[in-house]
Amino acid sequence: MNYQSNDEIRDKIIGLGESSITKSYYPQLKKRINEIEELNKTLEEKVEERTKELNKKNLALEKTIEELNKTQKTLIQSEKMAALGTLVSGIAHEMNTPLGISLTGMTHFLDTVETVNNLYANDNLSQQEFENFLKDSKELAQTISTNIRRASTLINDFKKISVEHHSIENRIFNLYEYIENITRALSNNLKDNQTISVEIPKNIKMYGSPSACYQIATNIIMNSLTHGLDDQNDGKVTIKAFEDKKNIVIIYEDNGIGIKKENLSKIFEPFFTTNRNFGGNGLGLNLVYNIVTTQLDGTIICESELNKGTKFIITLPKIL
Amino acid sequence: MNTKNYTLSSLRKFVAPEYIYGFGSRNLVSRFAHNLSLSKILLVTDSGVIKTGWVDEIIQQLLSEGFAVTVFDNISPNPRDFEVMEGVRAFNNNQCDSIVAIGGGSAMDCAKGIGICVANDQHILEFEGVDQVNIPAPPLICLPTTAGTSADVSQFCIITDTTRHLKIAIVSKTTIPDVALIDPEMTMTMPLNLTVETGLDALTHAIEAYVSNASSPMTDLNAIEAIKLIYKYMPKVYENPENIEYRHQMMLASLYSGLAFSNASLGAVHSMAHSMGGLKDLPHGLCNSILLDKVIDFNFNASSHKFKNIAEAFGLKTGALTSQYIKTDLGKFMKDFKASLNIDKRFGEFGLKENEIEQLSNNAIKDACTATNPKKISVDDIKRIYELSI
Repeated sequence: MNYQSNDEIRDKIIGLGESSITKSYYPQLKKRINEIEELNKTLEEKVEERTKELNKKNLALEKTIEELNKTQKTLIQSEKMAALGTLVSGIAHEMNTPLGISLTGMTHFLDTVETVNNLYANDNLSQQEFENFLKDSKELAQTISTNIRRASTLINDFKKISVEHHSIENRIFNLYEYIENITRALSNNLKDNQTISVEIPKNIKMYGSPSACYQIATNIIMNSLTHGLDDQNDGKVTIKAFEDKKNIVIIYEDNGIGIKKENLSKIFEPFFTTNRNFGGNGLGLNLVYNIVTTQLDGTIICESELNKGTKFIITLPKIL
Repeated sequence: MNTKNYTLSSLRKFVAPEYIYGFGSRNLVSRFAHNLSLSKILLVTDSGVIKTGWVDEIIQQLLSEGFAVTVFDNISPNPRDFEVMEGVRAFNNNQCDSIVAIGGGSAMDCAKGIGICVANDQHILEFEGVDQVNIPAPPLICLPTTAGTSADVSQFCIITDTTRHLKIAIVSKTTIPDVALIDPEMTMTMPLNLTVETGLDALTHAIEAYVSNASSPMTDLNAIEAIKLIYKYMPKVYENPENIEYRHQMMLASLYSGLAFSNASLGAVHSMAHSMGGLKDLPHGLCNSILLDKVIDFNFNASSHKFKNIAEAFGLKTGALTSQYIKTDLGKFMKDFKASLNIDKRFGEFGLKENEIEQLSNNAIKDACTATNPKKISVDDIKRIYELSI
């Protein structure tokens, strides 16, 4: 009990400083309080329920993400395997022709040697037959030599696709001068109605491997010359470039026949070619892609419209 | 009018519950229970009241109206603190939302105590003093069966502290019932001794309220009317307890005195009676009757004009008499009045020893009623009065 003085007690009796209130309708009040408490309770329960649901969903989402990651990894892996398969079958296909020809030639040569040898042993070899033999041998040797050389060239090409092992001599070079030199070197491949114009600012300096640049330029230009530009119209290739704070961007354009939509996504795949019958091996743009993305750490985008032309945008991070 | 002479201290509050007075008002209990949205009622009463039959009648009425009723009747006269707490448990265990009290001061004070404990979730002894209850109690409907206590209209709740052996006074607006159904018919069943004791309790309420230092014109009006009625009808009820008109007048007197003392508070008679009742477990009205004339004698000079009015209310001729004569006459009247009702007793008869007076006085001086005694009273004064009463 709090101490109360007589004055305080009397004041409160006469109504001064009284703090209590008159009675209210308690059951109604109590009912309201209960209702609010009940609401609070159900609210808490609801929140808990929702939280549980959310947690469940979160868990499910996390699981889904995990599975997606797994799937992605699997996909990447299978994509790699598929690419490897394509590569291997491509290599096999490409190698099969020269090696097959060489093998046939060699078998024929061995047969001929055996025949000549028998004739010679029986003293039956005529001069004419011997001369024919020599002539055939030379032809066969030439065919075999040509085809083995071709196989050897192919092997070298394949080696180029895997760029990692290249001994890269990085140096600073002037982009304009370098591209200009390449186009000049390729100018004897140009037909009369074809022109290449290099519109690169003369002050752009690049640090990197000139040979990588050379590979890119030649492959893309040769692509345009061999099957991009048709014979009917004047063919024109334009090479532009600009630099910003981070990147050097090279824009390559031709006004050729363009690439079909369904092929556009495949042009960087190894052995994809629409020109196999005329000597294309489908490695050119794959090589370009590998050099740009792996060796130079850049990106390459191809835009094309049928009968209007093709555009390559190569973005290379500045190292300088 | 110069308002400068009227200070804050001259302000007066008057608070009273809604009450229905009259024969048969008890029959309105279920209507008020509906009005107050009650549903599960704790019916507080005591075994003595149950024997009168009123409780059964009212329970039947409530049950037939669809209320759930839990009866709590484990109450002794001068309700104990632990009995209140037991009632609190009964209230909570039965998920009650309201209280109906049927009985005298014991049942009604216990019901009030249960209510404030339930609402505030506190022990009953924590509320001792004036205006110490924060949260109003659940609805309370009171049906008094005695004419004297007037707990049914008052803001007083008196509970026995069984550890300290004294009665504590809890004075708070929150203990005022929501409705009092004051039905004089319910006092017909009172035994004669209880009739006299409660009648003298009502008289003490009226006199102490009338001379209280917190009295007001409103309380004076009620107090003096109560005194007149008691003077006139107490002896008649004593002679003729079966007379319904006399019972009605005494009930009315009790109501008037209740309205008066609830708002003007009381004085040293009650301080000392609370202390005494707590120690010896004596009927409250009896304690009051023993102390009343002694305290009047002590207080007389502090409020002689008011005591003169009281003397006149008792039919004494005051005319040109000096205060001293009136005082003597009033003292003599009080003794004769008690004697005529066969209640002129002394505490010695109930085992009070001289060596207990010290403790009694120390408790009495701290009682809330001491504050409104018309004359400043000391522990020694109280001791002397106890000594005179032994």
